[in-house]
Amino acid sequence: MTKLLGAGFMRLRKTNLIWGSLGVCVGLGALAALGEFQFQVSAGADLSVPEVVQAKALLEGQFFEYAAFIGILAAEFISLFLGTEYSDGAIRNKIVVGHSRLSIYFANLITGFAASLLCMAGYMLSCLTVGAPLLGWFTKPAPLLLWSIAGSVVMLAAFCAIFTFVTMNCSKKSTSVVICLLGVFVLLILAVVVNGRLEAPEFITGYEMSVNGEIVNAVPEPNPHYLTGLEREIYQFLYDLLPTGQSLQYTMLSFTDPVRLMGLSAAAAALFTGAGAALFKRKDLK
Amino acid sequence: MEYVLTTQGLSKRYKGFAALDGLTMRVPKGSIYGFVGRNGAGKTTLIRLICGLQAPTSGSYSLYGVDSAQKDIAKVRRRMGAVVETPSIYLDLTAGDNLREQFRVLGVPSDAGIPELLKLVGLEDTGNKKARNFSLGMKQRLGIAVALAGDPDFLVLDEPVNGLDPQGIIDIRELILKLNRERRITVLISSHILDELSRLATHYGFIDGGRIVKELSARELEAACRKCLRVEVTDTRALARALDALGMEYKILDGGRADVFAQVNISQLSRALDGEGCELLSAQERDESLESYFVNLVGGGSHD
Repeated sequence: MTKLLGAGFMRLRKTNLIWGSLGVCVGLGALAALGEFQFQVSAGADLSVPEVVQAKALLEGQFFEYAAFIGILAAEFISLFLGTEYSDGAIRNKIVVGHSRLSIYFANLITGFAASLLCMAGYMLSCLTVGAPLLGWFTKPAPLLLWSIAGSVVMLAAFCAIFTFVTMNCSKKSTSVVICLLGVFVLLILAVVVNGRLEAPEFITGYEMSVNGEIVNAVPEPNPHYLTGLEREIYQFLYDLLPTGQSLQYTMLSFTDPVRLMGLSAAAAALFTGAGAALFKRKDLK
Repeated sequence: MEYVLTTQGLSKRYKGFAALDGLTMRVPKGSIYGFVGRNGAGKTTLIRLICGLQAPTSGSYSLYGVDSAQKDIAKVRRRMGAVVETPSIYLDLTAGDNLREQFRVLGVPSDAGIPELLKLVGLEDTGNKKARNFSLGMKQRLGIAVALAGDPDFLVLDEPVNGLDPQGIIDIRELILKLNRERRITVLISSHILDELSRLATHYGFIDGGRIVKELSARELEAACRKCLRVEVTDTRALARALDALGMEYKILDGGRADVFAQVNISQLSRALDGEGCELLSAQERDESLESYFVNLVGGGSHD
């Protein structure tokens, strides 16, 4: 497999796709920091005052934005990069000379993951480089930040496993691209919907009006849409299981149990990799 | 005779359709094996199976004596190179980078052999030009160069001259002959361009309906296609004596028929036969090309 990894990384270096994706990530990282700085300045915030920086946690707000879009980038990159193996027919060159299908699958998975990780690191570094002097340093506890970074790496592994599963078992590059991109957006919408249900307040305030239109009484009432019991647990599990749900939690630093999230991501990655490799092993290639 | 590839009752079915139906063939070492058949006869399916791209539904094949069910088949494949249907090359890489990539796949430690390979296929002057800007012939030659990257001694080419212009066809033909003669590479080449194949092949396998209909050497085919006079007589032993006396080359087909490979004077032959107490019943001139041989072989319905 080391030979295949060597070949994969060599092609990675030679393709414009990786440099383009990395460029986008670096640009987004810098833009996020600059945009936030300009917004704060225009809102009249004095960022030279440490207390203001401390209260707003501005760098964190932008730094972890990568978790929200890295799945979309991985979908685009993996489906295009690995899909080329099929569209150009180059996957045949590996099989004809005796490489096992499992090693081809794993080498492609690792290459796609490494490239996505590189893009993620590109965003983080540029956001940090531009953001730290403008927005101040991190103010949240270091363990929280480290858990978020570590968790998002495992979340990225789950994303890559899903997209590799699709791309390696779909002989048409265009179909892979559509499925991966459409899939990641559907998962993202699902995560937002689930989060909306979980975030619904337990009580809503009911108002009573008098005959002349004045509000005379404001009474908190139970919210009928508030999730409780098993239903809430299921929604929470779904939110934690979905890589897109995790991406929202890492972006907002709202996670409570990072180990559980990492475990679920690792399980999803293992499941999709196992199923994908088994399917690819039996696939009739042209 | 030593064989590079043998297949035994190889079958491949796709959702109710048998692309290969108990195919048995043998590719001798050092040969250029012309694999002839109509579109859809099963040529590409066989190539996909022996390249490991697909698994047979039943039957087996062996490469260099190693059965396809054995684990060692993967190691033996290292001795193979193949161009299946279209050239397998990365279009966004240059010719050199494509070879470099395949060298990595093979684990070749040095890139020193790349200029020689590019020269061999006539792509040494392509520089930084991406493969997507190559002509079809150049792509085909690059595909062959990639297949040769592992220094194989068995090369499988699926329709390598399809869509090429006359010069492209000549280039590929000369390359294949060079590889076979100078590097002793056994070549399995599938094609339905029979005229082209007849300039290359040392052995033929005719496939129809997923089965080998006939397998023979170029010499045997030449004999079968040789211009001759097919005569029908009452006694072939008498015919043999008469032809021996006339110093003519012949081949007895059965008790009443024979092929005579000479410019025959019918009156002279008739007199000679008369002297042996034999009657000449009919005489028919035969002149078969590879094309007419193929049409005669697979032209009808079933060949069971």
